[in-house]
Amino acid sequence: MLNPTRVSQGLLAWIEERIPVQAWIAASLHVTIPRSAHTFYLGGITLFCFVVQGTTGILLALYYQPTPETAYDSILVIMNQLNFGWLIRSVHAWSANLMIIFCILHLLRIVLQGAYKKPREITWLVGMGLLFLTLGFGFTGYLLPWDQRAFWATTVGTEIAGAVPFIGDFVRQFLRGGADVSAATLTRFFGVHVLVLPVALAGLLVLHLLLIHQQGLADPEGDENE
Amino acid sequence: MTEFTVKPIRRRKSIQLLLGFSFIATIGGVLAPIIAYLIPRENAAAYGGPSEVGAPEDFPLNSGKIVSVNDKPVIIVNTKAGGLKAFSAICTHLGCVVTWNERKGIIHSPCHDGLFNPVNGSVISGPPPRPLPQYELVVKEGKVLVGKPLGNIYGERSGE
Amino acid sequence: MSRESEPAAPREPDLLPFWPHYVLSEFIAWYIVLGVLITLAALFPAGLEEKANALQTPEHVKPEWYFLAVYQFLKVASVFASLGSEAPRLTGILLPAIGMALLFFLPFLDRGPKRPARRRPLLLILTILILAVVIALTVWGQYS
Ligand code: HEM
Ligand code: FES
Repeated sequence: MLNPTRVSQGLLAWIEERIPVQAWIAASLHVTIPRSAHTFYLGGITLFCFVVQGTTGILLALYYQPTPETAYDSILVIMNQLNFGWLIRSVHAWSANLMIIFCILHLLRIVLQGAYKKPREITWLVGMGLLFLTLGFGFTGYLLPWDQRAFWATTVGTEIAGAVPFIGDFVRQFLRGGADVSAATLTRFFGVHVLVLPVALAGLLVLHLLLIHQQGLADPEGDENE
Repeated sequence: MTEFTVKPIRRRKSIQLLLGFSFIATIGGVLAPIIAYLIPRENAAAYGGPSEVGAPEDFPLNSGKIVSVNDKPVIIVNTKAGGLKAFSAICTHLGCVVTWNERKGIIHSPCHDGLFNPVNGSVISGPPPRPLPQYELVVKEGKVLVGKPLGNIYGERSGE
Repeated sequence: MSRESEPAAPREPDLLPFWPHYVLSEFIAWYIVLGVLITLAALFPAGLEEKANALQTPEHVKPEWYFLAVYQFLKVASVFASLGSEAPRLTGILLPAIGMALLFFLPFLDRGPKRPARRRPLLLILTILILAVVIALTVWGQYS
């Protein structure tokens, strides 16, 4: 007779013999952290928000249509005609704001606990990269509904970037994909929002977490090089 | 003594049960709206009354022409035996759009050589399992109007 | 501050296992955030204004709240107009950029060994000050 527990145990052992998955999981979980390292779970909550953004974002992308003619109407369909479409879009919007709030709070705790000091300078730099990417998500995502607020906030936002000395005109044109906010801007922002930024943020995040795992959390009560 | 050792174990068990249950409930609560969201919206808005596809002169005797009715391909055929008729142009085999075969005077599916009768849409030969569904067609004030599909949309009505 | 003068005695940190203690607490935090998210989404669903119209600017165009401080600073920078016609625009962009650059390189600017903020009063005061200015600019931007 086939015993299900036996079979699954055998299967796990078979996999483990070839690739030591369980050993990897054990190695990444069985670490210790200083009791005085009060993270307030801020980095983890930011990570959670990112996961929520990925999930709801993929769901939105299944119905959203990134052209000036159809974008607004596809948002209306999501809000009014699909089951729970309003919930998914609203969670995406709220989670975006919470992600930025928690990212900033996380940064503040790193500053106040001095957790950026040697040997964690690189973790800090990667973290700053994560902050910029998160803000980039907010900037590009704001345009996608193609309503009045989206259009004009992006017009003003890219105009401000155009005030950068010397290269301003180029930066503005580059961001807009042309002289004005137009169809080219929408497809550009959409591509960056759903392809470029997620891949970049996921990559930096892996690096961030690897570094933290390698170095352990800082003990805020100890001085550096303890 | 026994009471003392049994109690904490029982409590731990029930807490584990409670945790496990609420965990599964949460997963279900998150997945249910997502699955509901993935169900496509009804395409109900499509039919807005009969649509004009041209004048009778556009469909001379022994001709067949593909027109678009509510974003769906429809073939208008005009034969001596059957007169002016409209059939769905979506082949009932694997969904290719049929064409008019001038030489044989019948409806032809280019993908696997399915042949349909232009009088009633029935299958003459080839792999299609069902006849082509017929559409309502009226000629009014010099216009050809195509309306709803007649009978079962899958064309499963018995031939006339 | 008597603590400051104490020699930094080597100390063994009190350690806590990551699994399951920390992970479990983290999960509980996620649970709460999920609840908050769904509540917020249900009570205040995401809005949608009129469809974009390139020929008509609505009143009160504002960026997202996290760009408001910079936006407001750019407006406030008009006080530098006496330094030249380009001065407001330049300072409005350059000063925040320099601020961000300083923050970016913080670990290389602050190299002192002391960690917790209560033993680094200068850092604490600076943080509170910068935070107060940013929050003030944000609120101001929201209501102007
Ligand atoms: C997408 C944004 C970010 C995510 C998801 C993230 C995630 C995390 C997580 C999960 C930890 C483990 C400890 C904790 O939860 O606090 C951590 C630690 C850390 N983060 Fe971030 N982080 C982000 C942004 C940042 C930013 C903006 C900075 C600062 C510029 C930063 C700097 C650090 C440093 C230095 C540590 C090590 C802390 C220690 O050793 O005590 N991170 N991050
Ligand atoms: S699709 Fe028409 S014959 Fe196969």
